[in-house]
Amino acid sequence: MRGQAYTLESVIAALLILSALVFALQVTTVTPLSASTSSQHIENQQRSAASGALTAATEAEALKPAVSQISSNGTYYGEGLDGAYVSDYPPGEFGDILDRTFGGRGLAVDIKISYQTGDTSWQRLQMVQRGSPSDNAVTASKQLTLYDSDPIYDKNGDKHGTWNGTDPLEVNDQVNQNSDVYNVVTVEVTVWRM
Amino acid sequence: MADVNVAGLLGEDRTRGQLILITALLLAVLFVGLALVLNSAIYVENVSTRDSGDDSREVLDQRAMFAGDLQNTIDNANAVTNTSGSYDEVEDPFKRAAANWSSSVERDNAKTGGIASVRVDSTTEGAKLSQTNSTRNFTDGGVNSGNPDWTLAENVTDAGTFQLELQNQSLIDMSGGAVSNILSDTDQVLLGGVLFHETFHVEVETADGDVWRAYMFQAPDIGDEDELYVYTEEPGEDILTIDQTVSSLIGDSCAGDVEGGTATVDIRNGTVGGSPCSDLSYYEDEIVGTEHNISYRNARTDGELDEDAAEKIIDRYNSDGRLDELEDGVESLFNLLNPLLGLLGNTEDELIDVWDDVGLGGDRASGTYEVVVDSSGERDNFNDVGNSDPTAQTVVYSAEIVTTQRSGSASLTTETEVRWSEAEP
Amino acid sequence: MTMTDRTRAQTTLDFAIAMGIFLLAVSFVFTFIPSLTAPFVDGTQEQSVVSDRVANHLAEGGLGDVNEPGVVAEPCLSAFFNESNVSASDGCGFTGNNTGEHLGISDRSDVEVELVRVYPGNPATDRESTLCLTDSGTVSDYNQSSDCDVSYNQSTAAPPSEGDSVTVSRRTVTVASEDCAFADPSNGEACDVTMYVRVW
Repeated sequence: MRGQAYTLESVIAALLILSALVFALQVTTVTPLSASTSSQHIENQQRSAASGALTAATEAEALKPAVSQISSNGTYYGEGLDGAYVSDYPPGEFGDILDRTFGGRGLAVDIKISYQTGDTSWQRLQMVQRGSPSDNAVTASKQLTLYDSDPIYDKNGDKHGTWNGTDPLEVNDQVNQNSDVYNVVTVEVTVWRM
Repeated sequence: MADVNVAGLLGEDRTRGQLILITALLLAVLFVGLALVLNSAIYVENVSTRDSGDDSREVLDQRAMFAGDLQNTIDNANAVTNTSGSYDEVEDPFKRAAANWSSSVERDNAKTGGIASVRVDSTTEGAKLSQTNSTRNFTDGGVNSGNPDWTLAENVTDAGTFQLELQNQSLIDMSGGAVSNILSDTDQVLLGGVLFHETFHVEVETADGDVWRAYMFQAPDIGDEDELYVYTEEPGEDILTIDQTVSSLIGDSCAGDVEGGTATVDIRNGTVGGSPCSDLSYYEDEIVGTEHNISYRNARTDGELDEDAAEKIIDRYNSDGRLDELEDGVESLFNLLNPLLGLLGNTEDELIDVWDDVGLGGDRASGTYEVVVDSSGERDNFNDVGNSDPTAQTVVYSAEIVTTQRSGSASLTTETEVRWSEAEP
Repeated sequence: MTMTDRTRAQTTLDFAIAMGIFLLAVSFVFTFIPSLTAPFVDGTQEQSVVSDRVANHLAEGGLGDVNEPGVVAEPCLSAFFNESNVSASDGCGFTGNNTGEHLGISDRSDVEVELVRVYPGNPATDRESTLCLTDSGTVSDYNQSSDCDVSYNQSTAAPPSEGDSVTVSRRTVTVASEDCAFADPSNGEACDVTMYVRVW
């Protein structure tokens, strides 16, 4: 005695159609340009903001003084571990530029200084740390050349040595020994939405 | 399959398959197909809205950065070496620094899969000729110290910085004082240009023999006492035969505001006291690019008129029919200054004598200047860096570089000239 | 018609229920098909592309020297923001006679470009101040100067109404140091400003 064969068949058919529809809708509802917090547009803006802030800092010649405010052991004067600035921006004009560009918008910034320690090896120094970047973080970077005779500054902004004399990054013996260049560092700014 | 039979319903014997199921399957396949089509539209959207033109913009950005970095390297090498010695002393550290810098940059770029290399093809030797003591006059230093007429540099193609800051009070006063003793009525005098042969001027002579001069003076009684005046004489003009009164010459000159007793004359950028002076832009427009010599004349004068000049003056007055006026004026002045002597009889000699007696001699300008040229300069006329003014410093003037960049989709090879930052106009 | 070869009772009812369920499902599905293409017909997607492109164009050499990306400078700024002054646009990164032509957009999109200076310490309403060209030919903002000639705010159409959706792009650019009057570049202060491009 067969039961309700038609009903069974139609139920299965309905399920089939509905699941196909659900699959199709799931796949196409959210596109890269849909208005969400991780849309492509927002990532483009953040990347442009980071790169614009670096360009503004270079034009105002505020990037080198900010990078040069370093202690003789190669750490910055922030409150975090390793001297990174965790709750505010670095002092000086560079920090002001970062504040104007990113402050008050729910964006978090990470800044790392990447320097060469040998022919093919690099090390990273943390300058600003506001947590771990999310999956949708973007990065902009800029190179900066440090010369042997360029000054380094202490916490109050007073000169307390030169890059070559004090060697905070401990690279004197490894690279660029025979010229006036101390190191070519890359300033990497990572931005993401908190 | 279940034995589904609609024979009873429709009155015929038909076997119906699972048509409903098949229809549903077909519709489901349709939807999945639609989803796939839309997926390709989404993919296109994704790729097309990524930061467009990223590669080419980055490459251009990076090229500008290379030029800036290399300029910093030149600045650093010039500042650290700070010598008046041979060019190798400056060029060597620059080349080493540039080589190290470019290999660091290459390695950095290799990290992200791009190729970027910078090569210094050639450098140009230059000299920074400067005087920093604002109370010193503009005579030369070095071996021939004290010369009032001297050449700063020969075979210059471009003086990147050509700036003089003059004490206004030290310049010749065209409108009063000793001058008004010579010319009976300064405002009415026909030969305003006569005085210019006593005035301090910068002389630029090109390889063709054209001479361009810029005269600097003050005129507190006729003009403004807080202004410094610059009159330029283009090639072909002869200041001694210019047919203008002093006040109209002042009208043709560029005036610059004097602040704190000094005003800056920037010949390369064509400004006097900060205001633009179109006459001075002759240097930038016509002379830069050709070989020329730069000299100072009349840094100090002895107040004597030579015979040629005196003859020209007399001829000029003569041709205008005012010789009597000149003779009367000179005679009365001569009597005034030499009450015991009789007349000499020859107007020319009297003129020379009178001029001498009035005593226009002395320093005609004092102040500071900075001239950055792309040749080595006349080192005999300068002291070494660290000694007294004026000094000459050997510098790297500019470098020709070739930058090669290649990244994902953009490739760029450029040859540029990068100048020392103080050699930028 | 005999009832003997029919071993199934109530087939008609069963069939009716089956078709009912199936048709219900099919009609439900057909109702939702239009929303499959909803993201693509929604107009705001192209707005973000337009605003991004316009912002890229203006920030990277459009409003200043084309060889210096990220810097905006004077003759180009007043040529762009003051439509009656089009003659000064030689050497700038745009050509044309009105804002639409300068940016290369059609009449379908309405664009507003604005340059503001950010004051992070001020309360929200005062946080941003529009830049302007002062009488003396330098660039300052409404907070700091009272003699503004040309306001650096330009639209191609009336402001958007309440219900329109607006897409905004933001860039950080620097004003060339010889034109900057709201900060002192020779003293190390930066002349960075924010540029907003709004499309609706």
